[in-house]
Amino acid sequence: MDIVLTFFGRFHPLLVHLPIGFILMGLLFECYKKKIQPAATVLKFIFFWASVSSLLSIVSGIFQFLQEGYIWGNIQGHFIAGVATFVLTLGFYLFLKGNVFALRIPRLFYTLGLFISLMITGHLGGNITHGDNHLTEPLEALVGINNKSEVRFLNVDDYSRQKVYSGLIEPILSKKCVRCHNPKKAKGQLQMHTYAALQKGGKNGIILDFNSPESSEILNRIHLPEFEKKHMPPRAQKQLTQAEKDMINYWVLKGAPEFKTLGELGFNEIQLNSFMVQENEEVYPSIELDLPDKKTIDSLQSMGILITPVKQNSNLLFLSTINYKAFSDNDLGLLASLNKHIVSIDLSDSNVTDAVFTSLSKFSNLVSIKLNRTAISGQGIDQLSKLDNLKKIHLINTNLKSEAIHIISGFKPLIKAFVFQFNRDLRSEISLSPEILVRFDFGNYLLEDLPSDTVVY
Amino acid sequence: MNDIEKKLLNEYVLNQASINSRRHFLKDCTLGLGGIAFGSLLKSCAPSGSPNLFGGERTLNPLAPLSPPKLPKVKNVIYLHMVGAPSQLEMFDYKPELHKLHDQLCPESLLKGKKFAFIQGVPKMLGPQAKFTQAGASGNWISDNLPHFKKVIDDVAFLKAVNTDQFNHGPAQLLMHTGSARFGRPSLGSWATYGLGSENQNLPGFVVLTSGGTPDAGKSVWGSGFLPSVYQGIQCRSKGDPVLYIKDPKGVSRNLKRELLSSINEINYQEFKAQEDPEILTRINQYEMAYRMQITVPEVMDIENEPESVQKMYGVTPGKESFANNCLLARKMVSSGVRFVQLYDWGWDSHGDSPANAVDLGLRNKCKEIDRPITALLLDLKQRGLLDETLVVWGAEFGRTPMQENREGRDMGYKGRDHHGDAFTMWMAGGGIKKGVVHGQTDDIGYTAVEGKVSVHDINATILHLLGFDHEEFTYDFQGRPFRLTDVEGNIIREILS
Repeated sequence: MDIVLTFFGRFHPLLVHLPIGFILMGLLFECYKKKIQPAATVLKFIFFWASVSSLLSIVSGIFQFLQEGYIWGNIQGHFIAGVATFVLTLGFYLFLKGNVFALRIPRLFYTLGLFISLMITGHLGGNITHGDNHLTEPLEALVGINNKSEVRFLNVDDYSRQKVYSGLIEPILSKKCVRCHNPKKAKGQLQMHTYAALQKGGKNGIILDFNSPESSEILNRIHLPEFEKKHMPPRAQKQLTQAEKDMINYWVLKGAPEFKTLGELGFNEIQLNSFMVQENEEVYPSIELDLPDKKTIDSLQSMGILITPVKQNSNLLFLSTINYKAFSDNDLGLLASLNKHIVSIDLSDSNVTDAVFTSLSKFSNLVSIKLNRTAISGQGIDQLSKLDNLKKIHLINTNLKSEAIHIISGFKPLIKAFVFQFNRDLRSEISLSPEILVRFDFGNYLLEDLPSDTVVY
Repeated sequence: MNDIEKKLLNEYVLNQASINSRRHFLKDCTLGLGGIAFGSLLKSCAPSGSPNLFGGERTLNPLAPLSPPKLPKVKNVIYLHMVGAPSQLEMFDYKPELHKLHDQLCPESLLKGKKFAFIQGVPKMLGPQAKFTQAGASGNWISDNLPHFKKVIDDVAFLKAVNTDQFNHGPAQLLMHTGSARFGRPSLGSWATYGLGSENQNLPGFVVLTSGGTPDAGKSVWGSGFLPSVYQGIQCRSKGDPVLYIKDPKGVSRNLKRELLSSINEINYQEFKAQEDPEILTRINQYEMAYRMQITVPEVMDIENEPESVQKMYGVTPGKESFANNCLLARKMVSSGVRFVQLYDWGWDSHGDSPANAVDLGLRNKCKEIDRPITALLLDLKQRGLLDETLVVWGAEFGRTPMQENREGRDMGYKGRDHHGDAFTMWMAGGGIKKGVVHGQTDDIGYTAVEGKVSVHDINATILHLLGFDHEEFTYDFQGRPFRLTDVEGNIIREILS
């Protein structure tokens, strides 16, 4: 009997599409009932079959719920909305047939109610099958919120102290397995969201064999070729990367410990490379911005100003006057509408003066500023302290005053200031503590002559 | 409008008319289908994914700057290639054990199944012909042939076990720079300029400078292969006029030249619209580039304008062709927005057939020729804030054997080593590169890799990665299939990335 129920239950994903189609067709017909004749007969026909298919969907859904390990709490909403859809469909059918009870309720109540309940049922059902964020995921990717394929969670500094399970294995499993193996939806009655759940195993027995780790079912499943039915994750889902497989394999063969650290298990930095947080990824602020203004960009480009995204499909921009050296303080006004977008600006060799600092301080997301070989002296450079993301500033061969160095040394986020001056030694004009000094590059490197320089062999 | 202008305009209108009528028949009556095929060919001029908002329009300017698909670590590359293959055993790969085996016969087991360019029979082992010391905070080993380089040793990441399957100069150089030992593939620099364009509109995106001679593989090592030829490397002469015939002839004013070029280009553009052959665009672009270069190139190529302290640091000799001059030029170009600069230095083929090719004589002089300039280059890039946005690569087509060369089975007149590609040293420095690390290790005699072996494709994959490309995604459709620089191989060498 179980087999029959399971079998019928599995038709649920197919059957649900029938009432969706029928009801939508019916509602569409309802809208055009004055234009297409004879509407009444056709509507009755449609809603009769809509009622039948709704009922079948509900029944098959109940079977699926009973047989496949779903949790009531998660399908409750879907179920109620589904029943409501069925009741409304049947009610509307009776209304069309002229049933006195059904006629007491206005026609619009049925049609509008049907539309709403159908949408809710469908959406909740979709979320159960494909995950809560199924619909919103591509949108997240669109605005660049998270790049799921590149989740990195280990740090070079402290990875060896991380627990192997919580620090490495759990993040991998939760990314690739837990979507189908969790308390809400436990395919094969297996849950993988906690270490205890992993130990417990599923319908087909344990997945971690602590006595002979190499024959653990979890290893079999991940190593089977992708076309095999038993391969996990299923072919249609996001697959484990080679590095992820290697890590799971290594961990299981080491006896799948929960509390041992990565260092104790002998993981090294290179093995874990694909999971390390890469600092440089975060060079630029992670912000959402609208598309930059096309007109502004066109006009800048027609002047010969170079303006490009920092990478493809990014709204963060790099601007350079390399091909338009006549750029002056006034021209900065042209960039006003891009003051959020420009994260890196190179005005080297241009005609800008100290007035540039007032304008630049409005570019709140600037990470890098280059003003090499310009006439700036540093007057007003204090205004750049407003820039929370400013990491690098290049002021090579300018009229930079030594007072400016002191001001720059107070910029909190700054990592490096390049202040090499060809014909004077700025370094000797100032006194700063050693920890501040490392943030400046005064240049003037020399290579002393060595006795060996003149030897010829 | 003066008379000359009227005349030119007249001629131009006539020309245009003649082209239009002659092409009309061909275009509309016979080449209709061909045109459609060409259309798809043209699209390939722009790498996919170029955003329209920023004028990814490449039909008119094939060198228009484009953003890479990933956030790049570096904007520029300076690639230093030592033509002829320097001996890693006298420069970077310290092998004290080899010293003990000096002059002993090489065990048969090492020779079995190996191919050499010149070694025959059983050669003798040759101990390191240089003293080694540890330098810098990293304590990495380096030979006394490179005393200045010790100053920057903590800035570079060594690859001590680079592997190539080629043992002759030409094919090995091609493999290193085009990803294939056979002719016909685009070079690394061409791929980079194809994918990124050029930021400076007045300078080429890919410049090549040589000292001592052209590489064995010829100009193909900076060729564009099947990419449009506008992406090939532009070789600048290291002495005299940097580019031949760059000065206007006597009596021709710059304005007249401008008008002449505009007319020629207009005609060429008509031709392009009719034929849709991208090579016509290349030609138009090269005329334009040459015109703009007339002003900028002499300026950039003038090293005498540099402060004397800088000239002294590099050890340049203005007016002569030298690796030192080229290093300074490379820095000047990179700071002027040239994307890819490649330096080839000739004379590293230390077979031991002459004093100049002896590992204890000529090699030392060669080391001296590059030691100061390379150190100066790294320091100069650093003080100009360019080192963290530039990648400096040092290498060669292969390395040399721990055995002494015995050409035709006889002892050579001088100490020399044969070509050897199983394991040799390269290094990288600059943006995105971990400082002071050593990746890869050779056995006790420096013969094969025992750990961290990397291939030529791995190196190219890493360079593309630093420029913001996924080497597996960065392709060009040619002859019915997408081509990659790294063919079907290549792994990013993450161990040396910061």
